[in-house]
Amino acid sequence: MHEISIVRSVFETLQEAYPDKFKRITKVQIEAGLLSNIQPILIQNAFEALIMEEPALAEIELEVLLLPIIAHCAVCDKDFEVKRHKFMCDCGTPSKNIVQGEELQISRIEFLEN
Amino acid sequence: MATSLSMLTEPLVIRQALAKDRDMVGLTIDFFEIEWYEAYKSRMRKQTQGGVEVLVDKGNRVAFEDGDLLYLSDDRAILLKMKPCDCVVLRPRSLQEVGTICFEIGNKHVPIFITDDNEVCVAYDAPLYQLLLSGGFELEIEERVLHPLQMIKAYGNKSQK
Repeated sequence: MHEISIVRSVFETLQEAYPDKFKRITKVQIEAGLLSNIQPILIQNAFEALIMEEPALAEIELEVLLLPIIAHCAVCDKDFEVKRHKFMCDCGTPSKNIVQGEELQISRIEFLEN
Repeated sequence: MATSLSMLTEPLVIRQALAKDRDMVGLTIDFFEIEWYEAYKSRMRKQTQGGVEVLVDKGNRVAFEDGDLLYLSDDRAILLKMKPCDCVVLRPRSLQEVGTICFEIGNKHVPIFITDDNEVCVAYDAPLYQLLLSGGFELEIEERVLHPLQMIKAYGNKSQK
């Protein structure tokens, strides 16, 4: 639903951050947590739609990495992965203290070498 | 002497899947692994399990399928392997329930897959799982391969047979 504006904003950000090198970008990696409400396929679809508007972007690969949900257990004082919506540490303590899983960020940019 | 593909300095460029009309007995089989949501990507670069650098440059959005033949030589074949992922699986008991489920999921613009066993599958994400749970639907989380051919489209659905 909001993926088009997210993808557009990613490339606007890159254009502002790298005005001289933008045309040499070959790959952009985005990290999206499982709680970020982002569907990677919708990001990919939005990117393909943006390419139709701006064909120069067709040379860029957009990769979406899904990040698992990590929560912190106050009893064990350690982080654990939340699998299949079970916000519970191995010790049996439930936790809603989320350490990872809500982020949406540009994590890596690759440029064409000179 | 056969060329070692992993020694190539330039990536192996794949434009489309090849027809599987040749016996692959005796060939070294290598796998190019992708996530289900990468099947439609027109451009991606990554290594096969055997270490061959591959650049997919399709120039279109025709989806790859699990098992597609990407490269074939006298001694080697590269096959596409789609990674399984956690999915929310629903088993509707009536056509009306199929409609209700698809309406709820479709409102989030999330791709829906209908399996050969008439199960409704969507890639797991926490907010969607909670939404469906709160809607009172009976659902499971299971590891599945999401096949593009089983994806429902607003138009252009074709028979897979």
